[in-house]
Amino acid sequence: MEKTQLMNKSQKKEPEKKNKSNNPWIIAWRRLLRDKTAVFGLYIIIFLIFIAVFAPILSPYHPIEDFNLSEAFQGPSMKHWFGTDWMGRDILSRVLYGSRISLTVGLASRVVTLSIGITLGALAGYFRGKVDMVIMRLAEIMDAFPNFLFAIAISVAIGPGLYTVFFALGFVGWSGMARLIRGQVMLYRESEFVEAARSLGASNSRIIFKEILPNCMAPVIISTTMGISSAIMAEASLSFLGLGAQPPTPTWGSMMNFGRQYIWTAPYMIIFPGLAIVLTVYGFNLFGDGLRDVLDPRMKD
Amino acid sequence: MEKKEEMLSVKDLRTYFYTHDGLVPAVDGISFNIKKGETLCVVGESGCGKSVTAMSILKLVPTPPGKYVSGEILFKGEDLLKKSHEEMRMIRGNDIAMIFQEPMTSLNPVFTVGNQICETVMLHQQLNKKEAMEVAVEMLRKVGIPLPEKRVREYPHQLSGGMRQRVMIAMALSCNPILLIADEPTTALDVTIQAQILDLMRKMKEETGSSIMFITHDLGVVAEMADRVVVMYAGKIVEQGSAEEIFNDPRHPYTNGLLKSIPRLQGKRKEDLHVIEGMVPSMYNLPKGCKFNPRCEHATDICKSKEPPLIAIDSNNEERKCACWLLEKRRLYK
Repeated sequence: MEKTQLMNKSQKKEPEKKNKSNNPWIIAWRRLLRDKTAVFGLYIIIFLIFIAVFAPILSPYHPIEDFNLSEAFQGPSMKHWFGTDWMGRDILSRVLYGSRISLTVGLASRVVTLSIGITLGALAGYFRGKVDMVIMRLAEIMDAFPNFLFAIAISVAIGPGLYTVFFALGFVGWSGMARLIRGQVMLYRESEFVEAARSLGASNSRIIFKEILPNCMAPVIISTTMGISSAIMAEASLSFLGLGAQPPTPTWGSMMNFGRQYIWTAPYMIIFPGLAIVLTVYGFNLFGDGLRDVLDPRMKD
Repeated sequence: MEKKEEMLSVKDLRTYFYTHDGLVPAVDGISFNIKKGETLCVVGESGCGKSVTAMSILKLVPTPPGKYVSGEILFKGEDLLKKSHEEMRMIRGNDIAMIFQEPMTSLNPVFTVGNQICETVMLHQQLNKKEAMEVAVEMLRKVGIPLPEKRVREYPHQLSGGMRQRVMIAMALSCNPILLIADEPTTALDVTIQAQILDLMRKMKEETGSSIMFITHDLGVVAEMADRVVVMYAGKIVEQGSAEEIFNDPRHPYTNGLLKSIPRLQGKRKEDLHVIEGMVPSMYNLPKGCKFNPRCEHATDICKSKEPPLIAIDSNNEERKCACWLLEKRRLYK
């Protein structure tokens, strides 16, 4: 009886083993799913994406058009869970819609950072010499400005708006990303497998894109995940200063900015968007930490 | 030995490195040729210019700091040193392929081995991914990897060192190169695997009829593989000849010293192993005259002032050459 059970077990196990992929990314992913805090962070992110996608269905009111001055400054109630603002708009609806802006800014600004950073970093690290010299001096000039001030300066120069925020926040991060990529590329360009690829007739672009960059992805993914949360924070700050997406677009930062004046009389105006920011940043940071544990061998215990 | 067609002929090649600390003549005026279907072994201590010679043939020496100061490398009648970057890329991997010393790190860790062989195949042949994968499986089978259909989907870290070197050989041979340059391909492997890899390379050579330039410092490997041998010291060729000539009748004191340094089973017990005294000279500061003179037990005045030319020493065989002043006086036999 026991024997047959054992047999059954081993038979059952075999197809499972076959399904197991040996792709390193899938292995890392599986390891990540074992990390409870990272999974919690992932749930928060999924939850936020869900909200952002289904905001029109989930929101009880329209965030901009449903204003009613007679219902202004209402505290949380069954009708308005998060209360209403000075124009009588439903804060819950505005917070839900605000997630769209925050997540879009987080992702779009990272896309800008990645495209500038990877291109320049790879060029500098691979070709060295004068190219490296010019790119790294540019990066140092970038770093000489406080990042946030620089973003403000760009916003003011181009004129405030959502696209300005994408660009401004994306642009200030490129020097760090370029430096990260450059270091990685310099490490791998001397490696034997790159030399082997070259000896088999691979071109420079092939070596950069197919041999080197895939090996640099782990730290890039980590820094991008972490970067999303700081971009969301920065977006909130820019909006708070009135340099982000312009009213009446609901963004968490601008909601807090307007709520600031009523902080003593209607604190819910500032608390709920604030909590939303905290939750988002917390989620991305937890997930990013988990990713680093899985992907960065130097951090492994 | 009948005259065979010359595959590759290197003439007076000089590859220098211009570094912050001075000029390094890593390869200093060497000439040799490789014939069709022949295995040429290049022997010498670390830092004598063996690898730079190999890299020069593929034009892979980083410039700067390196520079091809003079010479020509004739391959199929064309000078490789005059070829453009693009032309060289089409030759690499296709006509001339290279195998490296470190099988552990010569494969890209983030791709499956099948993928990596495919890349090379698709680079040089008009094949789609599926056909290239079939070639990859076929190559892995040829180099004696069991279950090649399964192995193509594995990553380098899942293979042992010997397996990886087989994969490297499969990759290098996937486009049927005419010349295979092997830069110490067995140094990082243990002895049994070494023997297997050498067997494999010999077998592949017979099957494909390609020539091999085999770089090594292991004279055991030379005895096993070589048709002809070139002995290098400090960027120069000091002696060349057929494998038998080099092993049975070494003329240069350095070759002689190398051969005497091999441990032998017949030797008396407790007898110390022969060593060549001193160190390989610093390439920044080479001795005057014969580069080997500070370590040579036969060194005379002329060795310290004038460099011996590489001359033919056998009137019947122009390929048999040696560069030593002693030859002028007497036959060296010790």
